[in-house]
Amino acid sequence: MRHNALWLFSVLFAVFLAPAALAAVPVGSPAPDFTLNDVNGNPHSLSDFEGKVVLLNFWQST
Amino acid sequence: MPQIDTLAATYGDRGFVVLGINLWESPSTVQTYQNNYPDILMLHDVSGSVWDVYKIGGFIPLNYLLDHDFDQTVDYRSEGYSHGTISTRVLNLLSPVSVDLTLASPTIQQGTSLDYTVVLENHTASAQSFFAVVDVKLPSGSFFPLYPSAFSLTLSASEVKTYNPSYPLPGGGPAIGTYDLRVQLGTYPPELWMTDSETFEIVP
Repeated sequence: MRHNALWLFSVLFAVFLAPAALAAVPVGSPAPDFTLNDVNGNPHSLSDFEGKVVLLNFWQST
Repeated sequence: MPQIDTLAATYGDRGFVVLGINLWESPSTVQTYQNNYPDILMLHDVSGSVWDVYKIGGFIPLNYLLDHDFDQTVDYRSEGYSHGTISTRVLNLLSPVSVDLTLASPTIQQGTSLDYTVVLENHTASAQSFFAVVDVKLPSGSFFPLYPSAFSLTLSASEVKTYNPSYPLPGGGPAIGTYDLRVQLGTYPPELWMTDSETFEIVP
């Protein structure tokens, strides 16, 4: 029974938790470039801000 | 958000930028926040594609602080509303010397000259030696060095230096279009300290 629980946990970990852990960008590694639009529809790439200290703040109003 | 906006306003002229990345909400919501927090550049991740790359445990807000180097290395990341550590870390990361670039005019006639002002400020209590490199991003997207393009400089403790260069443009040139003037500070072997750039138009 205990083995079954362990097995179930490892499957759940592999399916739900590991992909999220892999997706994040660790401290000390380069931030992957991206391009997003501002409120006027103008595109901005992260690499445009090389030479600046950049804070990425992911947010929602609620 | 108010604390981060204040941080962006305080250190903006020393090379600090905040990108506020909204997740999945309406354009009108993002517009309202852009109006309320003008020192943050609001971006819209409509599909969540950037979120998918950066998310850690799925908590919002999520902050990533990136260094000013060429690789934009992640210095620190946090989930949640605590910003105390971030302001201290921003101060530690900022370049020892800041550069502030201003153009005499954002539109320049062909055959006249590119006139600009560069203000360098040493924010430390010791002398700083570094290089300044000046170049122009052409309408094609490639970079063109302005000769002389590299300067070896030393600023004593807390010193501020102002330069007013004038770069003559060839008659009938350069091509009409949008250009970026860029100044990069750093050391050799290449370590990027800070960049400032301004956009100008060449007109007939």
